[in-house]
Amino acid sequence: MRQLVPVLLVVLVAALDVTVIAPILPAVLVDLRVNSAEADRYVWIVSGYLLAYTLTIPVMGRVSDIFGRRATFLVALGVFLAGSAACAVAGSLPAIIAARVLQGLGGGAMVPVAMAAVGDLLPPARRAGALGVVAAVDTLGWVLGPLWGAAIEQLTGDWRWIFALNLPIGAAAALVLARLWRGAPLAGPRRAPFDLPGALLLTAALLCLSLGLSVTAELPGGANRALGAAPNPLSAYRLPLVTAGIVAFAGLVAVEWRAAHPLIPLGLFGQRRFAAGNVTNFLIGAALMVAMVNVPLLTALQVDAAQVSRVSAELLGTFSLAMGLGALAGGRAAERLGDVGVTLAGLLVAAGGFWHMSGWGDAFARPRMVLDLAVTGAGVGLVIAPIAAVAINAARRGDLGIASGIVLAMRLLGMTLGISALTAWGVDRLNHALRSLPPVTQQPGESLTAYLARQQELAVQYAIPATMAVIRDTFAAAALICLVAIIPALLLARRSGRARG
Amino acid sequence: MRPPPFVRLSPVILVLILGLLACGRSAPTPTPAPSPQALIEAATARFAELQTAHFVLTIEGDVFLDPQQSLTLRGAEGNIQRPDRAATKADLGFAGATISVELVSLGPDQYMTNFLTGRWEQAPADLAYNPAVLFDPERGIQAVLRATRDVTLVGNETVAGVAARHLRGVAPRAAVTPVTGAAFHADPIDFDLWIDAETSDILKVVLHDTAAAQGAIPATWTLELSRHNEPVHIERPAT
Repeated sequence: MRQLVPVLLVVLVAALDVTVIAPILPAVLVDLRVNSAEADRYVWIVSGYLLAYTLTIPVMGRVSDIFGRRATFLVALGVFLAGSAACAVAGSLPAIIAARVLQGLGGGAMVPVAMAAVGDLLPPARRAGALGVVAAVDTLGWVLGPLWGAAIEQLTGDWRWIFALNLPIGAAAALVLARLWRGAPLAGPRRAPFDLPGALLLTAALLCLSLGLSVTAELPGGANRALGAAPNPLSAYRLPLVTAGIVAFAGLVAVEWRAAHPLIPLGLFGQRRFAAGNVTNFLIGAALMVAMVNVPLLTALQVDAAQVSRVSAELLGTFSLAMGLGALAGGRAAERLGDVGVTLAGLLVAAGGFWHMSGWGDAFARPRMVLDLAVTGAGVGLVIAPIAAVAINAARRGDLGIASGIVLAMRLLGMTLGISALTAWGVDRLNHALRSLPPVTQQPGESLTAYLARQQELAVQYAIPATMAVIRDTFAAAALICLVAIIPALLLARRSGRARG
Repeated sequence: MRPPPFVRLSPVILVLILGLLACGRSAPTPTPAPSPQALIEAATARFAELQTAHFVLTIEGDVFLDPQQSLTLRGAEGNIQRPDRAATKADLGFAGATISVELVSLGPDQYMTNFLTGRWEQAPADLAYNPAVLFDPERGIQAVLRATRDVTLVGNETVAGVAARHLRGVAPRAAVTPVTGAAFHADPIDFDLWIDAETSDILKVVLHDTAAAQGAIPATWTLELSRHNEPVHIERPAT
C-alpha cells in the first residue's frame, strides 16, 4: 500500500483540477480579458479538461497494458504537469483551453492506470479496498477542488499559483514513484489487444458533438453580439459538427459490435438496468455541472471582484460537501430502502433545489443560496451511489472493471455535453435579450460623458439583470433535466432475466 | 566494463571540434554600442516611415474611463494605417463583466459599437480620442520620442524572437497625453522601450504610472507593435 501513496497524491491533484477552476473562473476571464458574452468559448476552460479526462479513462488502462504501468503512469503525470505549467503561463483564451486539454489528458489517464496498478501491486483479497480508496480520493478531489482553488487564489492573489503548485507536488511524486516502483511487480510492456478504431471514433464523436453543441447561431453578416462579443467562428460548422459526431458515434457502435476486444463492450448496454443507470448518471452529470459553472458566474455579477472566488468557494463548497454527504447517505439508505426509491427521492430533491435556485434574486442573498445549494447537492449525492451500484451490479462479474469505468465516464460525459449545450442556449438567449433593447443613441447636445453614463445606467437596469436571468434559467433547465432523469431511473426497477451472469 | 574508446575520447574530440570552429572564425571586432540618443533618433526616423502596424495594448492596474470610476480600460488590439486610419477593439471592465467596444477611424469619421447591443453607430461627436494620432508627427509617437529625457541603454534583449535594444527613460506627461488620453497621474512618466536592433522599428513600449486616483492601483501600459508595414484593410463598418 505504501507504493500507492504517491499515486493517490497525484490522483487527488488531478481530481482537484476538475473543479478547481469553478470559483476562479471569473478571475481568469478578467485576467485574460475574455468578453463575458463569449461563454460558448470560455466554457471550454472547464469542458476541455472534462472532455480530455473523460476520453482517456476508457483508453489508458489498455494502453498501460501495452506500454507498462510505470512508464504509462509517469508519462501521464508528465503530460499533466506540462499542462499545469502551460495553464500557469497562459496569456490568452485559446492558450488556456489548450493547456487545460493537455492537463485533462494527463489527469484522466492517471486514474485508470492507478487502478490497474492496484491490481498489479496488491493480492486479490486487498484489491477491492484499495480500489475503493482510489475512487474515494478521486471523489474527494472533486469535492475539495473549489475550496482549494479559492484558498490558493485568496492566499496568493493570483489564480496562476493554483496550477503552478501542481509542479512541485507532481515532480516530488514522480521522483518517489520512480524509486518506489523500480523492481515492483507492476505489469511491464507486453503485446495486448487495443481497439484503436474504437478509440479514434470515440474521440471524434465526443469532440464533434461537444463542439457542435457548444456553438450558437450567429447574426447574419458576422455582426457582433451584444456586449461587443465577437461571433463564434465555429457557428457556421454547427450542423456539420453535430452530423459528424452522430456519424462517428454510429461508426463507433458498428465497430464495437464487431471488435474482438472492444473498448466499450456494448453488450453491457443490453442489460436494461445498466443502460438505465448510465442514462440517469449522464443526466445527473449534466445537471450538477450547471451549478459548478454558473454559480460563480452569477456571484461575479453580485459581489465585489475581490470577494468572488471566496464567496464562490463557500457556495460550491456547500454544494459539493452536501453532495459527498448525500452520496454516503444514499449508499446506506439504498441498502435499506432500495436503489430505486432512493434514486427517485434524490432526483426529486435535486429538481426541487435547482427549481428554487432559479428563483434567486438579483441581490446576493447568502443564507438562501447556501441552503438551496445544500439541498440540491444532497439530492444529487443521494442519486450518485445507488445508480452506480445498480449499473455495476447489473454487469457480469468479468465486466465489473469496465462497467465501473463506463459509469464514471458517463457522468463526466453528461457534465461535458450538458454544460456545452446549456451554455450555448444561455448565450443565444442573452444575445437576443440584449439586442432587443431599445436603441441608445447620443442625443443632440449630449456630451460623451453623459452618453456613456446613460449607457451604463441601461446596462445596470437591463443588461446585468438579463444576464442573471439567463443564468437562473439554466438552473430551471437543470431542474427539468433531473425530472427527465426520473424516466430512466424508473427502469432501474425492472429486472431483466439476463442480469448477473 | 570499460566504455568503448570512442566514448572515452569523446570529451577530447568535442574540445578539438570546438577549437577548430574557433580557429575558423576571425576574432570579432568589437563595435561600439550606439548612444541611447542615437537609438531614439533612429527609432523616430524609422517610425516616420512606418505605413502600417498591428498593436496590442495590455493594461495592469486601474485606468478609469468615466468620472464615476465604474468603466475601466483593460486593453486593446488593432491595426493602424498611415495617415489616419485605425481599427481597434478595446476591452472594458464594467460591473464584474468584460465587454468590448470596437472603434474604426477613417480620417475625421469615427464609428464605434454600442457596448450594450454591439451594433455599429457613428462615434459621439465629442469623442476626443483617435488612435490614428499615433502617426501625427506633432502629437503622436514621434513627438513622444523627441520629448524623452534621461534615456539609458539597459542592454540587448529579444522581443518575440527579434533582437532588440532595451532603453529606459522618462517622458513628460504632456507629450504622452495625446496618445494615451488623460489616463496618467504621474509626471514625468517612466518608460521602457525596445527597438529592433537591425531596423530600429519600435517593438514594445511600457509606460509606468507611479501615481493613481484614491483607492486605485497605478497602471502599467504595455504596447506591443508587430507586423510592421504589412498590408491591412480598414473599412467603413455598416451602421
